[in-house]
Amino acid sequence: MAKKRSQYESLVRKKTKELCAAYDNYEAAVLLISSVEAWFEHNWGPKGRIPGLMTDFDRFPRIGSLTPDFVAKFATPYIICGEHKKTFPAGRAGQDNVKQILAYSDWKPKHTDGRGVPLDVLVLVNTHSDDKAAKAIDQARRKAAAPGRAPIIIMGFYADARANGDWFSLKWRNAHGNCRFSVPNVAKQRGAQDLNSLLIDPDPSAIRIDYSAVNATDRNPLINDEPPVVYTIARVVFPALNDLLTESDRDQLSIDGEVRKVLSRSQILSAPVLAGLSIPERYVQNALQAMEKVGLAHRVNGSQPPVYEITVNLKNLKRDLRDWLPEKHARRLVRLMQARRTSRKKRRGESKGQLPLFE
Amino acid sequence: MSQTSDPPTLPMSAARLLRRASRDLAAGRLRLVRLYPLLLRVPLPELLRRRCAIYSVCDHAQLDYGYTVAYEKRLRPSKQNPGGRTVVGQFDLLAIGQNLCIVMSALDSEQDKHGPRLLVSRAYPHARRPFLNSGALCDVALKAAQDNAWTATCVDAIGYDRRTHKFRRDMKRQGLEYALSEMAEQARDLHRALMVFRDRSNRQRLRASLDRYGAARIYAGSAITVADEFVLPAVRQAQQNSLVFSIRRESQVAEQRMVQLRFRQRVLESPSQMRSLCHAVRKGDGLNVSTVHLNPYLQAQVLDFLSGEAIQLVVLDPQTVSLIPRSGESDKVLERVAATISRHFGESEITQEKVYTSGGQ
Repeated sequence: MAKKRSQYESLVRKKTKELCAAYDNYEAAVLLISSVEAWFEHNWGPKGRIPGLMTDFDRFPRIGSLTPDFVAKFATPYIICGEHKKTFPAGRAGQDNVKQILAYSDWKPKHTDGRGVPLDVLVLVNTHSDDKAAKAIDQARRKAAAPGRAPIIIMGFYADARANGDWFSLKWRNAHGNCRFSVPNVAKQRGAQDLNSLLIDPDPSAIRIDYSAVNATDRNPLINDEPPVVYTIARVVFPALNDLLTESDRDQLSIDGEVRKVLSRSQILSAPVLAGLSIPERYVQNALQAMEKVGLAHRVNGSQPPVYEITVNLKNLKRDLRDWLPEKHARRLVRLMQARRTSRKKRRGESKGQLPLFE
Repeated sequence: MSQTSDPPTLPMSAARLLRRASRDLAAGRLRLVRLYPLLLRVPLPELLRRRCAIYSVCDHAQLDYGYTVAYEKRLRPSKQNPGGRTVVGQFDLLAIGQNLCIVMSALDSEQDKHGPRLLVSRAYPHARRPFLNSGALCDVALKAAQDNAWTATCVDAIGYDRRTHKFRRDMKRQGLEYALSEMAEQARDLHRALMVFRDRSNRQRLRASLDRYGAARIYAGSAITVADEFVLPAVRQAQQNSLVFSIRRESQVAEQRMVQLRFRQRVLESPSQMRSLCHAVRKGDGLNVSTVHLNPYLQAQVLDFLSGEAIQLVVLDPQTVSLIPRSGESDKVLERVAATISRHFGESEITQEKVYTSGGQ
């Protein structure tokens, strides 16, 4: 019994670690994209150092079926299509990434008058695997050459804690046919406002994680990839829930210490705190299902589309969702996994039992 | 309701009630009188209507000075009282202008805890307790002593230890400023001081305590003097910072402003110190603090389920805590979180800054 218990606890620890890592990786990706957005805004946004060069920074672009992490448009005209990869596995495992990036470089953006707009594809990869990424993309590009493909710039990045604050250091390697940014890029006149001299020539260049970058992660807590459910609960569902309680709900919470709120996913998405964010309903639905599993919500019987009764109590609010939810969710997942394994064993035993012992 | 109108003054009707309490104290009919100031965001009748359910039975009547509240609170069974018990009491609410009231009670500790103090602690977000730092608390008491030509001696000082996060008291008879500087040397903030005020002929004129919430306990002397010269000036001091908190989430990112709490020392150098900051904020009821990023810097999402407001708490340098609004209106939670940090983590200088500085990278 004790052995079984310790086995269960070790599985829970392992699963909790996995869930926390997924949360942290997603948060790190949001921070990187937000830092890039803040850097672009600081330099060329409407209130930037040289205002008006950048016309748009889209965090949730859709190009047909493609969903890059950001698209920055400049008045030059010039477009950067950006993608972030924490790792870029070598060999067959990385082929999906290669295909995705080549598809971005095949995009032919057009001006309103029909003229083509110069495009660069910027791939931000952790410095552990930027070399592998450059090699894999170079090989694929040579193998399936296509005319008019946009340059692909691969930049390695790493988080850098310096005495004067926290930075993302960026490193460009001159290997495997890694491209430079097209010229002209952010400004018509080449000079200081050239991405090559700002990001590629300094070795390494750096983007600061400052208040504007951190604030951008709060205004836009998601990127163009599906977040882990724990992250969605903490960053989307809870803020929306806080927004949607009525005055009498809040009075009840203060007096009784608990309140139950019945909400559908579309109500959650209509919360003012999420205004302007195009969050797919699927993300919220998955988060609500996970909340149901850990006992924070339960589905109202027979409701279609599903409606959930969410419990808010002062005791649970005191907990840190980043630490508490992964463990609670992991316990549920491990129990589910063990139950499945037991029923599989049972089924196997039953089918064996049906066989005659002696023929 | 505006928080920054004319400075509050004591109405005649309230003064009459306080004078009667002083007479009862002098005659020994009362042991002590407690005064708790509350800054109102809604009118007093609405506050009573919304919060009377915290008692099992609550009966209130309007009088010339404000309200008198009679309550009955049934307590859950405990080890000492397996059958549960009922606490009964009565206290007064003195209306001081439109957005301030003083909760006055002459009850014993047990009745006070489950009666007026419960109302004061559960009044948020419809009302809030003022909060002032220990230096301001000392200034208020010394100014009152100076104005009356009295000498102030601190006989019991309670300080909040920033390292152990616990209260520690000094029962040494000393000047208030000495008590303050001694605590500062020991990384403590003066939280409450019981003082004895004597006139030139060395006669005791007042024996009262004042804390950082501007609340007073009067053991001997005039309750009007305490209300007029201790409690109301403390409220005025606490209201001075109100304008700093009047920021909101801006639709234009370039216009966004934040509140910064700057500490004298580098108090936030390690992740464990950042965790204890989050822990300090979590002490507020209804506040959910979720860590978004920890080490080397801190970003936490703070949701206030009692007011519906949201902010983010950011530490990018070891001396500064920044609070950035996430919801439209954020003044209530900003003020509350800043007070909670000052109360449990240490006092700081509070300023308003811009999040975006053009070309700041």
